Amino acid sequence: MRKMWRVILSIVLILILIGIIAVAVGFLTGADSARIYQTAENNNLINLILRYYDWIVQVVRTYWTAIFGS
Amino acid sequence: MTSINKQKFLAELGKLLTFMYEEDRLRAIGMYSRMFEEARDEQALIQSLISPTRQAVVVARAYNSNLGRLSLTSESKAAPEDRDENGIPDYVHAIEGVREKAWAAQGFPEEALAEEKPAEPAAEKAEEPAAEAETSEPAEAGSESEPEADEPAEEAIGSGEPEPAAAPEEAPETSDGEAGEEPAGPDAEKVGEPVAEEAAGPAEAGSEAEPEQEKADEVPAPAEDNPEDAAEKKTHEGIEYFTLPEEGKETPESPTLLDENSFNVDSDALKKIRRKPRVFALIVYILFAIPLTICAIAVLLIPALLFLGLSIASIICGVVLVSTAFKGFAVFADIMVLLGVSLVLFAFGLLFLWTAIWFIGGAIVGVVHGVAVLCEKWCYKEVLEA
Repeated sequence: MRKMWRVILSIVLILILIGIIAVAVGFLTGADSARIYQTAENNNLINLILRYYDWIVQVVRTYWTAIFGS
Repeated sequence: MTSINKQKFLAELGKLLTFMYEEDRLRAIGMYSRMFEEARDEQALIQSLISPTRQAVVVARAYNSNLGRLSLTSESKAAPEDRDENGIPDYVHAIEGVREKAWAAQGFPEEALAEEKPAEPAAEKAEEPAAEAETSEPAEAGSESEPEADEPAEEAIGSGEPEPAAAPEEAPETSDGEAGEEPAGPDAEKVGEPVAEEAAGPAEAGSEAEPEQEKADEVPAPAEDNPEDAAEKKTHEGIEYFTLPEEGKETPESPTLLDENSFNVDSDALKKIRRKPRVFALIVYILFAIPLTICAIAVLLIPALLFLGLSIASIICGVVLVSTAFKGFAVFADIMVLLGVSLVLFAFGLLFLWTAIWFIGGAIVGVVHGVAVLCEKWCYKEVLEA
């Protein structure tokens, strides 16, 4: 179990490192956060994520009510 | 605390001699068994034999020199090198030597020894395969003359006829120094054995006797016969030997291998450990442990499910970001930012997923295991049973 923790943490750190490098490269090569947000909203991405968040909240509430009552 | 007896000694020796051919092994065990039957005091004999291991080494020393010459393809174990000119294997000589020393240690009279000597080889000779029947004829003659050992000797002297068995034995006892008996006298090792050369007459037998004596000396003997070798503890065959004190020089500080602790078995170790439940404690423990365990599992399930949900959310967000990056974005820099963020989300998703698995498979299972271990510790007692 301890060995698996090491493996998982190594993979996680590598992925985070690569992700941070990718974000840094994007901003260094001319990325703009306002433009990204605008494009995402135009593609209904923000709305999609918000709907997904709502769905998760509903699921948690349902189970919480079932286990601990209202 | 049990001390070794004949049965144990022979059983142990039989196990140690498994490297021999079955026929040879049975023969060796038979000789030792006969030794026990003839012994006045079984424990004294065991003490003089030291240990089964010691005797196995003695036999192995005599046997191993021949074993090295055996090939896998040889069908017959009885290679010519195995035996002396009389067809008697070397290890038989070695056991004979052991027997004589044991008899000497027990204070057997010389006459008794001399009378016993012809019988054994003859009896052993009878066990030999039919192919050796021709050479065993003199031995049979010796066995016939065993009860009246003096008569064949006189006949041999008088007639000059070959009487192999008893005639040489008489030599050390008679002080006449008769021609027919003197040469054979030193051949104590060969007494009673069917010497083929003796068929030509006592004088000729006497002339052959000295080479026989040399050969008998070459027969591997117990370690105390050759102190230098015993000191080296190793022979050229790579067998380790025990260093034994010389007879009469044994000190009380150096006990032999067969002291009273030898071959003792710790009787407590043979007892079986059995666990008996304490019924009342077990009932009380179950009454309290089951609800507590269920509560602990429920508490541990909440963070497990929480982390599971977080991991699922993170991974879904990452997938959505990746798909959107390639679907709606045209600028490479923006795509790189979205891919970087999605990778971070995947990383957190993996971490949360593993945490959820750890909670379910590690923590919850650990709690159940701990409850079971505590139950064993508190509610069971260990009892020794024979």
